[in-house]
Amino acid sequence: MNPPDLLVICASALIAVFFLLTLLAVVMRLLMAVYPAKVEGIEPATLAAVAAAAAFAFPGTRVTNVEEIR
Amino acid sequence: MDILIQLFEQSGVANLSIGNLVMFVVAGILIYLAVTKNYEPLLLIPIGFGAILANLPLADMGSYGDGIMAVIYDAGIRTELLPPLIFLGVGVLTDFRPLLARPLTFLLGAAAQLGIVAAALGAFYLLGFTAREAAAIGIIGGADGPTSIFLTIQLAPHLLGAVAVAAYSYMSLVPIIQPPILRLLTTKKERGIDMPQALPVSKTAVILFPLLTGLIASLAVPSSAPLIGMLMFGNLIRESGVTERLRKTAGGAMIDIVTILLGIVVGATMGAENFLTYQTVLILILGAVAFAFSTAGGIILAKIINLFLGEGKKINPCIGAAGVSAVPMSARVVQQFVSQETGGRVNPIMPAMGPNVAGVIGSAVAAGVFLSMLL
Repeated sequence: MNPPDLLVICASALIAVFFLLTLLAVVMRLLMAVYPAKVEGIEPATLAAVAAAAAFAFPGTRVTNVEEIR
Repeated sequence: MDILIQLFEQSGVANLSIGNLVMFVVAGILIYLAVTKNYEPLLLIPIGFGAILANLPLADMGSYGDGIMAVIYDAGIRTELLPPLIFLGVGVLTDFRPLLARPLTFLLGAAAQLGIVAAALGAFYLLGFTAREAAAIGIIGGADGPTSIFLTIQLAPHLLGAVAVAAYSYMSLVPIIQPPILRLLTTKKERGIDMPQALPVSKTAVILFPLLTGLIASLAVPSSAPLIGMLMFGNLIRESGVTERLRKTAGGAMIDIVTILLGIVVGATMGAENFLTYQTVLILILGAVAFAFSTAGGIILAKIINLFLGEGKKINPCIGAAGVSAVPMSARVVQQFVSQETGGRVNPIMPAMGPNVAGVIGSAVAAGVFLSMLL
């Protein structure tokens, strides 16, 4: 049997790479939907530091909520 | 007096050829780039010194002789053992979270394999290389040294020195090759796209990733299993959190030892008679073409994807350039380029790591397909 033309081989390689990585992307997206990351609360030490810094900069200010944006 | 003359005639000095001297200069350039420019020093120094050893007349220090280099070459390269071991170490050292956090960037890692195809077709149809040689040359576009060595040793072992040197040299020259292409293919507005927040990644997903990827990729393209299987095994060691000793060894002493052996023995394939050929010049040119096409492929696909994404969800097309799997050099180049262009406002190092590590998987899969269809 003659080996296939290199053009066919290259096209196959590119299609295989795209197909496989797309499949992996979908699988990983599903995986993350099934196993979502637990959002951890802010550490008490961080809360205290933020409150102290805000009180220093703006005396009398009371910090009611600290949100971490990743 | 006769004894002295006889001694001189048996010395390396008397047997030095012009080719040997040229190779000393080539080796010197590789070592110079490593030492003064810090370009891939862990590989260019062993390769450069290996090239010097291979060109010592009568010393039998080339990989194709009967000396100690040939022993390492036969045991570690001809058997295809060392590249998968490097992949094991790379798996231990690679954090796939940036990829998992933005699954879309898997596609950019795929598009950045375009250079493999471009260089292979150019080598075959324009320059008269055989199909096997063309595939080995094309894989330079994957920007992955171990993958290039793994494929070349099976398809075109006589080109190993030139392909390996081209792959590692261009990997080290990513900071010079990629910025002009980034500037050419992106607008100022596109460079300034600040990407949306990444998805948070759970510990379970991080542990399941190497298991599923190893299984899926190896079942789909079995000939890529030595590379992807070892890469994912290494990553599982890293992420499981219960194999600290194995993680330290595979990501430290083991990968260092394998890198030394692989580097010096690849350098030792660069005997003047094998390396100083017209083919080597063509391979170096095709390597540059491959890198350029791979970089462009990633950027262009990112721009196409952006056509379908709403405002606020668009991706910075520059991160597509990081799909060439020179990890983490390519992602750093993208970060530096975008940061400079935006005055430090946009810093896409983490988004760029996604396509960067996807490119490692992509080039290994492409190599696997070449092996299945050409061996």
